[in-house]
Amino acid sequence: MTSPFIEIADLTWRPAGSDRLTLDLRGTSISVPAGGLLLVSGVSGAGKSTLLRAIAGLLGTVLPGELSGRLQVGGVDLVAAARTESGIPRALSERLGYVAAGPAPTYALPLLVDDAALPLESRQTPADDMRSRIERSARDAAVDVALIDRSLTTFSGGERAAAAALVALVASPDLLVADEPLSGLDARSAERLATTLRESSATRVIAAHDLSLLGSATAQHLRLDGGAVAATAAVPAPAPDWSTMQSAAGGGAPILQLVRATAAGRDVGPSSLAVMRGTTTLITGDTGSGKSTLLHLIAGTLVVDTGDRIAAPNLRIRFAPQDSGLLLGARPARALVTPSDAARAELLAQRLDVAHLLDATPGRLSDGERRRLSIVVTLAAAPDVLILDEPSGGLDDERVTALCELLSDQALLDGSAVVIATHDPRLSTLSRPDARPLRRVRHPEETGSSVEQTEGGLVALLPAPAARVAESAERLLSPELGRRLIGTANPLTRLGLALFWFALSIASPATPVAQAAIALPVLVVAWISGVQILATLQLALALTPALAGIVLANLFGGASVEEAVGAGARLLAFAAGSLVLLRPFEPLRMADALIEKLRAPFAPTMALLATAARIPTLRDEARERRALRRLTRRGVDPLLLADMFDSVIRAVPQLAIALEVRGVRLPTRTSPPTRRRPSRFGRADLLIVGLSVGGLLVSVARAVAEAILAA
Amino acid sequence: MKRSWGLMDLVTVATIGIASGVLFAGWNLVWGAASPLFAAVLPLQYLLFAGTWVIAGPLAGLIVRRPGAALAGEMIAASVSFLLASQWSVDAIFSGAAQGIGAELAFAAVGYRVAGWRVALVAGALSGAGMALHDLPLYFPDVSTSFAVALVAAMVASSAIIGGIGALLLRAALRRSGALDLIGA
Repeated sequence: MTSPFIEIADLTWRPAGSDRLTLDLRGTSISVPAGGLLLVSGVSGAGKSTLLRAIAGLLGTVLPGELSGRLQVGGVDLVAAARTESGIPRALSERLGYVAAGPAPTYALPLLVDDAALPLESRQTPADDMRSRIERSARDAAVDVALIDRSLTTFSGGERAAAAALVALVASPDLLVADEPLSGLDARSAERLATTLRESSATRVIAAHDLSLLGSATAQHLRLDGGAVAATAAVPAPAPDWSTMQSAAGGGAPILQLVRATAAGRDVGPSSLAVMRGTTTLITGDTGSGKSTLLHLIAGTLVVDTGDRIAAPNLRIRFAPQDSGLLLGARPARALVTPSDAARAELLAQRLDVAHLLDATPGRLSDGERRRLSIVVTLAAAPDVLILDEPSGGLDDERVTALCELLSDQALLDGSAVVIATHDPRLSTLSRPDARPLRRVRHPEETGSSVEQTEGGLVALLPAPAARVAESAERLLSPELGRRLIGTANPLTRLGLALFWFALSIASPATPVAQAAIALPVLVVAWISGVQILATLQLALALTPALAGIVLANLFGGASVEEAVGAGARLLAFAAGSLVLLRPFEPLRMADALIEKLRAPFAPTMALLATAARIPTLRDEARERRALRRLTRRGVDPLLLADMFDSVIRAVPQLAIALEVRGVRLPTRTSPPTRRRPSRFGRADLLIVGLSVGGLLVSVARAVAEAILAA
Repeated sequence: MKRSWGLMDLVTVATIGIASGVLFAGWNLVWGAASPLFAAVLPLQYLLFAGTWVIAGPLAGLIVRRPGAALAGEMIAASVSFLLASQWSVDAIFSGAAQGIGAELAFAAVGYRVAGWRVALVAGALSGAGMALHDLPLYFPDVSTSFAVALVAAMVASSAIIGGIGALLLRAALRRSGALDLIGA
C-alpha cells in the first residue's frame, strides 16, 4: 500500500498578531491518497481558506504565524518547513497548482498570457509549447480563448475566477488546491470547470460552499466550523434550480433610470434600466457580461460616457462592491456608519451575526465576514437605492437565508430600490410570497444591445473639422509610425542613454545654448523610441512650476538672466531623460532585459517588476475606493499618507502568494527560465545610440569652437 | 528569525519603495515650485522639505528587518521618482543610493535586531549625511564653509526628524490598522 499524499493530524494555526487559533484540528486526522479528492465546506470564517493555505505550504513560510501538529504533503513535512523556510519548500512548489479565493485580484502579472506563462517559465517549459498549453488550460477552465491576450484588470469578477483556475492548471500540477474556484462563475462556466476539477488525476483539495457540482463517489468531505471540524462526511445539499426563480411585476415609479448608457474605458455595450422604489431588481447574466459596470453606472461611481443617467434629486445611494475591501478599507466598519445610523447598524449586524465584529479591523477578518459587514454598512444608511454586487459570495446557506430575509424585509427597506447583481441561485429565496416585488433582469439581453465600438480618445471630444485635424496630428505625432519602421528600443538602451545624457548635461556649461543642444536631441530620440507625445507634454506641464522655480530662484539669488535661463535649460535637459527615455513605462520588458542580458536573479526581479506593474491597478482601486467613500460621505481621511501606505501594504500578501504559487523561486542561476518574450537589441537601439553620439559630437564641436574663439 | 529573503519580504520592500517613489515624484514638483521662496535662505528649504526624500530607507528597514532592505527601499523609491518625473534625472538614483547606504548602516550597526526610535532617528540622520556627501560636491562646489555647514546641518536634522521619526510614526499607524500583521512585521 502506498502512503497517502496528504496527511493531517492535530493541526493548529495561530496567525501573527492574533491570540486565537484560526484553525484548530486537534483530535482530527485526515489522509488523502494520491489522486484523491478532499472537499472542504463550512460556514464563512470557519477556516476553510486557512486549511487550504496550510496544505499549499503557505502557512509559516510565506504567511507569518505558528503552525503546529502534523502536516505531511507529497512527502514534505510542512510543519518543520514552517519554522525554517521562507517560501513553499521546493519539492512541493514544483508540483503545486493553487487557486486563491477571490474576489480581490489574485494574479501576479497584468496580462493573462504573461500570468499563465509564469508557472511554465518557472518550470523550464520550452517557450514554443507555452501557447498551446495555455490555450488547452483555457478550455479546461472555461476561459474564452480571446481573453488570453487581454489585461486581467479589465476582467469581471467571474472572468478573474476562471483565469485563476487556468493559471493553476496550466503546469499540470500533481497537487491542486482550490479555494472557492467556482465563485462568481455563471452556471455553464461553473459546470465546465467543475468537470475539469472532478476528472483531474491530480490530488485535489477544494473548498466550496456549493458542493453539488464537485461531489463524486470517491470524494472525502470535511466540514469545518469555527476553525474546528464539525463533520467529516455529509451529503452536499443540491442547489436550487435557476428555473424555480420567480419574477414579479415591479411597483412604484422609477427614481433612477439609465438610458443606453455606456461607461468610458469599459468594453460593455449600452445598458438601459429603470429602478423603482420598493422593488428588488435581480440582475443576472454570463460571466463578464458587464454586470458590475452596470451597477457602477447606476451608483454613479462610473461616469456615463454616452447615453443618459436620470436620477431623482438628493437620492441616497449606497453600494456594496464585489470586493468588500474596497468599501471597508483599513478602519473598523463602525467608523463608516454615521452616528445617527449606529443603532440601526447594530441591529443589522445582529441579524447577520457580525455584531461582535463591528469594531474589528477588517484586514483580519475572513472574506465572508467582511462581505456581511459591508452589507451592514450600506444598509445602515437606509438608502433610497441599495446596490449590491454578488452579496452572497463566500457565504454559507444559513447566512444567505438571513441575508435574503433582510433584503425582502418590507419594514426594513420600505421605500428603497434594491439592485443586486448575482450568479447565485440561492438568492431565489428572495422571491418568497410575502416578499417585496422582485424583478429579474438578464444582462445584457434585457438591458442593452451587444457591444458597439466607438472611437475613443481626444478625437471623440472635438467637433468634426477640428477632430479631423486633431486626428491627423495625432497620427503624425504618434509613435506608431516609428515603431512600425524600426521597432521599439530595448529598455536597457534607453536607461543607458538617460545616464549618458545626464553626464553630458553635467559636463556641459549651464548656458541656454549648450543645455538646449542636449535637450533637443533627447526629445527627437524619445519620439523615435516610441514615446507618446501627449503623455510627455502632460508631464512636461507638471514640471513647469519646478522650471519656473529654479529660474526665479537663480534670479533672486543674484544670478544674471543668462545664468538663470541656463540653469532652467539644464533642468530641462536633466528632466528630458527622466521624462521621455523611459516611457512608455514597461516594467515587464525591463524585467525581461534585466534577467536575460544582465543575469539578474529571477525571483527578486520578478517581485520588483510585478509590483511596479501593479501601480495602475492600485491607482484605479484608490479611485474606486474614493468614489465609494464619497457615496457614504465619509471620504476624508485624516492621515492620507498612512492610508495610502496601508492600502498598498494590504495588497502585499496577495501578490507574494501569487508569485510564490507560480513558482518564481524555482529557477536557479544554473537553470535560468525560458522567456516567453525574448529581449533583443535591434535597429531602434542602433538608431537612438547613433543619434546620441551625434549629439555628443555637436557638443564637443561647440566646446572646441568656443575654446578657439576665446583664444 | 529566518535569515533568507522570502517573496513576502521582497514584495514588501518593492511596495514600500514604489509607494514612496510616487510620493517623492510629487515632492520633487513641490520642491521646485517652492524654490523661489527660499532662494535667499536655501538651508531653510532643506530643513523644511529635504527629509521627505529619505523616508523610504528607514521605513523599509523598520518594517523588513533584513540586510539590504533599507538600501533597496530607498533606491527603488528614487528610481521610481526618476521614472515618473524628476528634475534631477538619473542623479535621483545616485542620491537614493547615498541616502540608502546611510540608513542601511544604522540598521547594520544593531545587527538588524532592534528597530526602535533610536535606530529610526540614526537611520534618518545618516541618510541626511549621505545626502550631504552626494549633494555638496555636485551642486554646491564653491560655496563658503559656513554656508556648507548650514546646509549639512539642515539636511541631517530634516532627515532625522521627517525621514527617521516620520517613518517610525508611519509604521505605528500601519501597526494599529493591522496591515503589518499580514506581512509579519
